[in-house]
Parts: sequence; C-alpha cells; structure tokens
Amino acid sequence: MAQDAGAFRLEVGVFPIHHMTFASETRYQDGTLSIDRVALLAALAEPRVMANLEIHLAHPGEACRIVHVLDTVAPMVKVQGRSTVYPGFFGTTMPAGNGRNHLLRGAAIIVCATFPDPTSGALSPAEATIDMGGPAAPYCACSDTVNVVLVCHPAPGVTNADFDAALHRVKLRAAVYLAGATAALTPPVVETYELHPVDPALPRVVYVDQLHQQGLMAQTFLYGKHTQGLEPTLIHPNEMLDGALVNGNYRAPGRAATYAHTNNFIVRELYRRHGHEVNFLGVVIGRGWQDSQMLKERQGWMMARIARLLGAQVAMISADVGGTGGNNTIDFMQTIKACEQMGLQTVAVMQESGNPDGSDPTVVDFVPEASALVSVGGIGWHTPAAPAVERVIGGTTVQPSIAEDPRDASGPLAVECWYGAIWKRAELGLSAVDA
Amino acid sequence: MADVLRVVHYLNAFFGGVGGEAEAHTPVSVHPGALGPGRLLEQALAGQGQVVATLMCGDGYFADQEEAVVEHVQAHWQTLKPDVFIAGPAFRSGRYGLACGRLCLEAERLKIPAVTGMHVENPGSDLYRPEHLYIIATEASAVGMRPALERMAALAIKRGRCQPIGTAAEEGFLSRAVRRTVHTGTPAAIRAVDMALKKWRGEPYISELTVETFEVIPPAPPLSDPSKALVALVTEAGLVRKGNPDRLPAAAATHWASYHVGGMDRLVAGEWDAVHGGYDNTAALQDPNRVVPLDALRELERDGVIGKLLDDVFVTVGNMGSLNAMKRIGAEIAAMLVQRGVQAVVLPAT
Repeated sequence: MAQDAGAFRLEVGVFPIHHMTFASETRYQDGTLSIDRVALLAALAEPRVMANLEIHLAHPGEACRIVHVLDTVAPMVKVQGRSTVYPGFFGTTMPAGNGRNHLLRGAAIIVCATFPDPTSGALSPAEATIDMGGPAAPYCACSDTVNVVLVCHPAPGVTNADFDAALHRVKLRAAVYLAGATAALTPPVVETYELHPVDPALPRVVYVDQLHQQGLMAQTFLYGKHTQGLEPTLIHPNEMLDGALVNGNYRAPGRAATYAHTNNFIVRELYRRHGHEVNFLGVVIGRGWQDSQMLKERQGWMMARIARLLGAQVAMISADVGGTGGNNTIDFMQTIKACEQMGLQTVAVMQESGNPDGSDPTVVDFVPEASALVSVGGIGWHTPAAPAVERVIGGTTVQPSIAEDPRDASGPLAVECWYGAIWKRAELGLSAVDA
Repeated sequence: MADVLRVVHYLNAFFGGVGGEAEAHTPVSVHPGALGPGRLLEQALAGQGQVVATLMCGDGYFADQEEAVVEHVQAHWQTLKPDVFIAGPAFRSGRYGLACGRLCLEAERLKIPAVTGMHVENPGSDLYRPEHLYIIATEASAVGMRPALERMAALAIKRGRCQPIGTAAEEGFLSRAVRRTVHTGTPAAIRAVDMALKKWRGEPYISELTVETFEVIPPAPPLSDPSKALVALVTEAGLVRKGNPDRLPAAAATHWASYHVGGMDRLVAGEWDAVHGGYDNTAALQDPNRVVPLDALRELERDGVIGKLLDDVFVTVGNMGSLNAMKRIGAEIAAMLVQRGVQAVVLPAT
C-alpha cells in the first residue's frame, strides 16, 4: 500500500451545502443536495427496532422548531483509505485518521426520538430544542446548518438500549449516504490535516479532552465502544476528525454532540496554529463523571500522566466541549491540578452555572491551580425566549422540565438552555465578567 | 438639569478627626455637611451630589455595639433621607471595613444605594462581597485616598441616578458575586490558546473566571444523649411521593416538600418516585430505603439508640442546586425542625 497506516495524514474534500431538497435521485450540484427520500429510507430502515422513520429538511432562518433532539452528525464519507468514517460502527475499524474524506460543510444530520421506556435520574434524555429562526436561533447549535432531520420511532417491544444502538447506526449511515452523493466528484477545496514536524522551540501543546460517560443515555463512544471503563489514552486529532468519537449523551441540552467531536473547537484552533505558535502533540482523552472522590482524584492524575509522558509543556483542557456544570467539575478541576503539579501550564475552558442573572457562585468546585480559565458563561444565561413557530419537527409537545406540564411545541417557548448551547457559546465568543 | 444627589457619608472617628485614646470608643454621632475626607469626596462629586451629613463612629464602639449603632444609623437615614450612602474608604482597617460593609448592607435593604471602598484583603471585603455590595478596590493605606474617593463618587452618582453600571473592571469595584454575559467577539478556542501562549511566555494574562472561596460551616456540637433525641430525616436526594405531587424539578430546585412517614416501618417501592437528575434512580425506585433509610432509622428507634424519629421527612433536589437557594431551603427546613423540637438531623446524601 502506498500509504503507511500510521501516517495520520487526512485529506478532507469540502463540498459546501447551501440548500437541500427532495428529488427523484440523490445528487450534489452547486451547493445543493437533492435527496431521494425513498432510497435514503431504504438505506436506513431497521424494521425490527424502528417502526417508522421520518425524514425532514430544515433550513436556517425558517420559522421551524426541532424538538426531542438527541444528536447531530456531520455528513461525511471516506473515499480513499482503508478505514471508514465513524470507525467502529461500520465493518473493520482500524486505523482512522488517514486517507481522504468528503465532507458536506454547512449541513448536519439531526436525530430526534423519544425512548420507549420511561427513565428518570441521571440516565435520562433531557428535552433539547433547536429553533431555526427567531431570537433564540443564534443560541442553538445547528440553526446555521441545512439539516436533514431523522425522526425515529421505536418498534413495539424494543428496549431503550436496542433502540439507542439503532439510533447510532441510523444517524451514521445517513451521514455516509448523504456525503456519498459527492464520492465521484472533485472537491472544490481540499484541506490537509497532518502534524508535520515543527520548530522544536515552539511550546509542545496537548489537548486534554474529558468525555461524558455515565451509562446508557449518557455516553461517548470511542471506535464504536462506550467509554465506561476507559483509562485515559492518547488519540491523534485526525481520529477525532474522522469520527472516532461518537456521542450518545442526551443529558442536559447544552451537551456535546458527534458534530462537536468531529469539528472540535480546540482541535481546529491548535491545528491552525501548529507550526506557527504551537507544536500540537495530540489529544488525551478520558472520561469524567467518575463515581467517587477517590476515582475523581485518580482520574486527574491518570490524564495528566499521559500528557506528561508525551512531553507536553502546555495543556488545553475542556470537558464535554465546555460542559462542566455538574459533579464532573470535580474530575475537571482534579485534571487541572494534576497537570499543573506535573509541570504543565494549563488553560481550561469551562462553563459557569448558578442563577441566570449570575448572582450566585458560579463554580461548584475549584483548585488553586485553576488560575487560567476561559469561560463561556452560564448555559442558560441571558438567552432569549422564543415566539411561536409555524412548523415543528420531531414531536407535538415539549416538557423542558419535569416539574412542569408538557406544552404545545409550536407555542412560545422559554427554556433554560437551547440545544448545544455550550459549544455554541464557545463558537459565538460569549463569556461572562464580574459586574 | 438633574437634581443634586443627597449623600450621607460614614467615617470612623479617626478619619473624622477625633484623635488619641478616645477615638476607637466614640459613639455614633451625626454632623451637618462633610467632615475630613468627606470634603475631598464632595469635590469628587463635582456638583452632582452634596454631602448633607456625616455619620461618625469609633471602630471599637461599632464592634462592641454593632446592633445599637445600626439602629441609630437607620434612624438617622429616616431623617436625612439620603439618595446615596457612602462609607469609608476603609483601606485595610479591618474593623472599619466590617462597619462599612454592615452599614452598606443595611442601606441596600432599605433601598438606599450604597458604595464603600476598601482593600481586597480587608476582612470586610470577604464578608460583604458575597452580599453583592459595591466595594471600590482601594490601596492598602490612605495614600490611595484621592483615587478611592474619585471612583467611589463616580459609582455613587451612577447608582444614585439609576444609570447603567459598567463591569467590575471598568468601575473599579471588587467582584461582588454577580456575573454578566458579554460578547467578546472572539471564539473561546482562540481566547484559550492566546491565554495559554501568554502564560507560557510568562506574560500577564487575565483569567476570565476567578474562583471564590466557600464559607466553612462548623459542625454542630455532638448530641449529649441520642437515646432521648428527636431526630429528623432531611435529604436532597429528590425522593418524592409517586407522581411528584409537589413538582420538584430534576435540577436547580428552589423549593422543598415534606412527606408524612408516621406509622411506616419502611418506604414501600411503588409509592415513591426519585426525581433527582444527577444519579441513576433505578436502585432507589427498586427500594427507596436505599436512599432514605427509614427502615434503618426505625430499627434504631426500636432499639432505643435514638429517642424518636420525626414523622415527616423533608426533601429537596440537590442536583445543580444554586448555593443561595440551598442556603434558603436549609434555613427554612431548619426553622421548621427547631419549631418541632428536633435536635438532630440525618442527611442521606447522593
């Protein structure tokens, strides 16, 4: 084979999407993707597990609301190379981060569903809503992409676990099918991702990424396997770009998404500066939400030691793409502490919590070593309520809090946090100051 | 043309010009117009405000007679009707800072906008910043009098006129446990790597979040005789009657509920729901006694280890609880328990 599987050189052919429509055949032309809905349904159908699959389109600016959002995925397909995108879910998994992908930029697949069996507590999906237009849209992830929305309904008798597994398969197959429309085309732009050797005087920087993993409904997959027992390990940023991390976390609407892993904000920035201002070494991943104080402290050290053994001098740290609102703040702070005590300079990106007006201590745990923090503000702070909409995809009622009754999904809506709020706030440049 | 703001100024006896031994024990007094540094303050107000009266008190006297002084000052405010109250600046003087902080807090409670000034390490700063008071950051000593008064005057005018207040950095006050969303115009990743490079190069940088220290709560003294004690079960585990009749939320609770358990030896599965969004509720739903151990406490009651268990349990949801809301909830439940003669509380956590 011409290419060494360990080269970690990934080319991404980028096809911009401005519009999508249903048509008699699936075809990409001049920024428009036409979709053969029947063919797509046939490619995705899982009649044993899914009774019914709806496919809708939503464009930025429409007076359209998408409810019961579980995840969002970037449409991409590997056109050259021996792996696949989203490895671990299709066939053989190794190795990822090489070859050439085609990516539909400006598009996203959104998967919406309600699980068949009721849940409560931590392992429960929370309502997550996207407004495509109106005052809340800027604060919603995927309000600025052309979206293919898959609304999935469970078959009778299917368990939550089996339905969830099917949701992952369906959304990822959709990603590959749609991007596959460009497989034979020449991309207008090709981006190359490679950590070439750089000036050794540049600071050696590692990205330390704490993943969300607690159990069903709150998980992250690495190469197709959930990360419940994951000990911190090293991955190449190209593996993230290739979809090695897939999201199965439906807690808290502000959460990370598969899209936010393949399009990770810190990875993009470190790649941009690689060779100019930094020497980007790689990514350390581990899971947060460890179950005891001992395990949380241990987690910090287990993350830091990988970074240190790599020879990193600087660590950029984030959790759930900025999501540090619950007890995983403790794991997060322990990681900062351990990295600093192992001699790394750290900067950590986090969210704040507390009252919407900010008049409450906004961090539930801290360490003195956490002296360089970037804040995206509080997840729901100062975000607008939304007016009634013309069209709702995904359901007819919403229940943003279990303490309130479900209400008409098309009516005016005020929620504490819109979908993907944390990574959206990171992209928008929102922060908070003492006032 | 805007009205001239009526300003009442508070000084300690030292700055008020009373010297020597007498100074610390001077009782509270009121003087027309400005005294001592109050004259500089009036200059800084530049016609926007007038110091109509100065309240003065020795720091030692204040420390010994705090409540009486507060009452006196409240009475003076009633008569003087200030638009704005300004106290200090206290610099690093601890008792003075505590006095300024307390009086500003009382002013705010009466809806009189208040501004003080002190050094960040003044004990008054630690105690009163969490109360959201406006405290201008000053130098450690009176060397910094002029800039302190200038900033205090500027802020006092804004507060007195209900004008928009800038950020802590812009106005020069100490962080007061209030956060405001801002649009930085720069994505978080760029800000983060910029900050990392500054840190790496040893250049100064400003963290976007500085963590506050938390209050240390000393534990209550131990029970002298548990076998005679009335004990209550209080929990943040979100265990509620089936159907969640009191609508406790899965997170960020602002209220609590109580449920009668008199006559029950144990909690029965199916009669209770667990709504706390921070732990997997499966085990709790299978056997609610795992989370609220009524069965174990009944055993202790029967064996005489505790005197009696209160026949109501008190419940809220601690998940993502706002500190201030939880303080209030705790105080409300505690008041109820004290009223009912409870002497000890068992708090199963999650």
